[in-house]
Amino acid sequence: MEGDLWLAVFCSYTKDYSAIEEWLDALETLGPEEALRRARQLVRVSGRRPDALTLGFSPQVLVAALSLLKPRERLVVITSPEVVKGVGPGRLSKRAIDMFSSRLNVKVAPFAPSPEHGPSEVLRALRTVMAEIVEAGARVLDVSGGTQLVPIAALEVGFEALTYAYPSGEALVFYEFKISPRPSLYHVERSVSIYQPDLIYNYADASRELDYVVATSAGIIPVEEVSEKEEWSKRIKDMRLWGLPVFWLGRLEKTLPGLTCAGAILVPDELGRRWEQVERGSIASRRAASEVFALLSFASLFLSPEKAHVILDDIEASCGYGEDEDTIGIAMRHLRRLCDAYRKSLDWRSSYQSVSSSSSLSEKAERFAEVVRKRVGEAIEVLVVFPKIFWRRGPPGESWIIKRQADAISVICKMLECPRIVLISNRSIERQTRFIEERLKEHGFNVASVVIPQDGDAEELVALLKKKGVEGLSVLCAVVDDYSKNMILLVLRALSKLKNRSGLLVLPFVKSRPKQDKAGARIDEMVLLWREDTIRELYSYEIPILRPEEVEELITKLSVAGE
Amino acid sequence: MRPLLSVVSTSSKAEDAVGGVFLSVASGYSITGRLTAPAEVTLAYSLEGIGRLRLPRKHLFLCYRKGKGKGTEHFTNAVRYISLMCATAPMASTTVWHVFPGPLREASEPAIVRYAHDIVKKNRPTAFYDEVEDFLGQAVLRVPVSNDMELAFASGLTLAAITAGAHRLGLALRQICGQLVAYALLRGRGKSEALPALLSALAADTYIWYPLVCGFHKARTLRGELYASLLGEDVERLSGALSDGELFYGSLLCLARGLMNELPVVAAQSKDIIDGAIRLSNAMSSKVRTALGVEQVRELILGLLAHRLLPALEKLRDEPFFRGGEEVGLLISATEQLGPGLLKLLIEGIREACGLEVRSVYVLYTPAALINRLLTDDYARACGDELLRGVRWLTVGATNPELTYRVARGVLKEIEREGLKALVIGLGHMAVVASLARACCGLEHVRVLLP
Repeated sequence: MEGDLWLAVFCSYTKDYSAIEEWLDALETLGPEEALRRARQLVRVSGRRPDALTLGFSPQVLVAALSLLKPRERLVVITSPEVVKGVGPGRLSKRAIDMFSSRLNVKVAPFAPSPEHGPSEVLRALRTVMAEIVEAGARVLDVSGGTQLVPIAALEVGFEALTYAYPSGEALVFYEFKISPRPSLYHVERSVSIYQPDLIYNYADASRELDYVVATSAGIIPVEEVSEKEEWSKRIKDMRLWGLPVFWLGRLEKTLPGLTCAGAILVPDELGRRWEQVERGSIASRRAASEVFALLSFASLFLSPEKAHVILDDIEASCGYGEDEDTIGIAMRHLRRLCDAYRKSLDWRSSYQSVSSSSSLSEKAERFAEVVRKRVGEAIEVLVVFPKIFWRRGPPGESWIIKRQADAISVICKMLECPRIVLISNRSIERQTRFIEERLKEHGFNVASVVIPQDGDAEELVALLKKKGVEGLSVLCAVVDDYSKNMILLVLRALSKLKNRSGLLVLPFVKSRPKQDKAGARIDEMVLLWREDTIRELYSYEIPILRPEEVEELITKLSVAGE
Repeated sequence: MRPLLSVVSTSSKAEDAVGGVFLSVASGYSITGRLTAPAEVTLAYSLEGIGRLRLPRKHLFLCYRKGKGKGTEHFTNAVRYISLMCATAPMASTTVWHVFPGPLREASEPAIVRYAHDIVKKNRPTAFYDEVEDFLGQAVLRVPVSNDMELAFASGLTLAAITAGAHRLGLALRQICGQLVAYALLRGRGKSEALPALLSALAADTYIWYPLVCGFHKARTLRGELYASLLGEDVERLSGALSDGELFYGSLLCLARGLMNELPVVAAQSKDIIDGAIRLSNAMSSKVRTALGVEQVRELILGLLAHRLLPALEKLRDEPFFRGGEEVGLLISATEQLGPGLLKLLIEGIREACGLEVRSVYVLYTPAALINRLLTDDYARACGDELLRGVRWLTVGATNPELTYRVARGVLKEIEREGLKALVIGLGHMAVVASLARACCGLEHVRVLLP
């Protein structure tokens, strides 16, 4: 009698809801374990078994799929709001869900269009849920439940395989389709600028700006959106970059071979949607961890995968030190997520464990002037500047870059309302320093320069600084980009001997950061930091500043060197 | 055209090792697969141009062993691509000669027809070995490589460094390579003439070809920051010293011969690692002054190491914070010159100068030191160096100071958890050093060295 019920309901097509109810009653009587044992005897698999399914109004497929799981495995189920609410025939599947809830991971998405939600919206909602499942590791989806929109979404999202369950009269069969679904999408980054690592501190533009870099199960795919007809010429640039296989979205002039259409394997809508999910984390990393982000992008696209793995491991280890909830923490978590996705794309054998990425920037970080005042003190009486050395034979006044340096010093002084400047010079840059001194005087500052004795005589330096009246003051030492560490140390010691209270600031030359001006497709750019607008906009986490107490401690800890 | 350096592999293993290291580094690690490598690689120089406009060029002769077959084509083409096209590879534009071991069979097989056609169509430089044998034999410096993996690595790296272009990474590669060869030389591995030959070739190229190329391009391309990062005062001074073709060849070969004679003697006289590095550096700058007739020049290859880093270690000798024989954790921020040689010399220098044993090494590196990181790891694996294999590499950024601070702070706490005192050496960009210094504040187990 009971066997007949299983054959009629489980192994044959039926729309007889009362029979299905009766079968469910029988399952409840048997209990979950015994019910699944019985079901297993009546299930056949052709190909792979599903690790996720879409559940409509037929609970038999759910029970069949569950019966194939190993003891502690869980099944991912996508079902409709009607089933979750137990409305109409949905009550049948709801009963089955409740019965096996401890073995299920249930996600909800609409299956059918309605007056409020058209087919596109339903498709989008399905893709969203399915993408999460793919990201969490699901590979094979059974699509026998739900509407025809289900397999469309499943193919777009990139399950490795789809199955369809059907009753054969003697068993319920899971059949794997021999199709080539789209690759699984792990991560999408928009507008990725590729900087050559050895030029990161030069004011050099990116070698290539890619509209998207997509981490997929088929590999990392750089994508270019066609915005103008002549864009095919970027292919020439790509050939100089070790033939990077860029995929193209949109209509392109067919002038060259090898221009592959991205639409065949990626869904443009999906790229945008996936980018929105990670955008904030990405922007945070491009600001607070810009160099690591640039390195990660370069390594993943331009190094052999074997070496890219090495660098991704390093980045992941570094970002393991940032668990805070501020911008840095968000940036570091985003980079770990990116490492995970790229690593998986580079080598499908490794396991992909998605790292969650926070969606909001919780910290309102302080800006330049505020940070300096907070760390060094409200009133800064003297700015001691270590100018960057430029080897030039010609007149310094002809140099754009030396002028910008003078302007940067002027801007810092104005922002901090510091009227006095002492320029630390040495014989190599005496002419440049004199030029900067004159220019700052034109801006109304009280400027003096001190040439460090060639033999590094500390006592002589103390005397020189004393002569300039730098004694017992609140001082900010500003290193413009880079300077000899020995010389800086010598000056810090001399300032300490003269009872000054000295903080230390380093203002780098250039930095890649998100664009202030949102126009255009590109979202980050290389900027010169020696300009008023960029200095003013620097966040606390972009400026290395040592408090006076830290400088004093450093001098103590440095007692072993530089004497 | 004059040949300077020939690296001759005497076994298949050596060919693979030399060729593999050369191709990996010269391509900026975009190619790391094994290809059929040449048995002999010879580097030659020429000076081409119109009137006073003389462009120094390099020629690389890739001589393959008989019976290696079609695979050789891939190696040659890979070198041609990274040399002429690939924007991310450090290698400079070089004329690559494919040298066949002997006459080709009649071009009747399809693969041979295709390759032969390509040679003629593109006018590729090719030769039979017996056609260039006498010329290649004139190389002032000859390095035979058998199964010594350290020598094979150093030889492959030297070829990659010498063929690197005139750019920041190009100079850094020459320095990284020079330090490694100097280290091997000072550890007494230079019993043969191979190591002095490699170091002499590097020095001759760095002091003559590199400044000449900078001089050639100065007016048209080098301005501002690029000018500063490439040239510096010393290279600029040298760039004006050579313009005449014969003077170029003469100085190149004279400097190489002079160093080849002097470096082994200097290395043998050295008391220890620190003393040896200083002596080698001084010997090189002295020979350069003589060969080029310049009064003053700072030594570029070993300069940082010999005159700043290693002497700074002497300051640790009397530091009461550390006890003799104590084990320490070492945290370094990488400069673009950091490589296996610098790390080895540094670790041994710490032992020699202060009796401290470095148990764990952490290196913070920025994108500018990407190749240094990969190269050091390659050396450690190829030569089985366990200490370097155990180095923990962490990525930071000069313009990401808070991130750098957190990583450095985390590392210092890890060293503390290991029960070790930490020695921190701040190299590289001042912004990284400042963050590193900040991370040391408030930690009792740390001392800092800023060379």
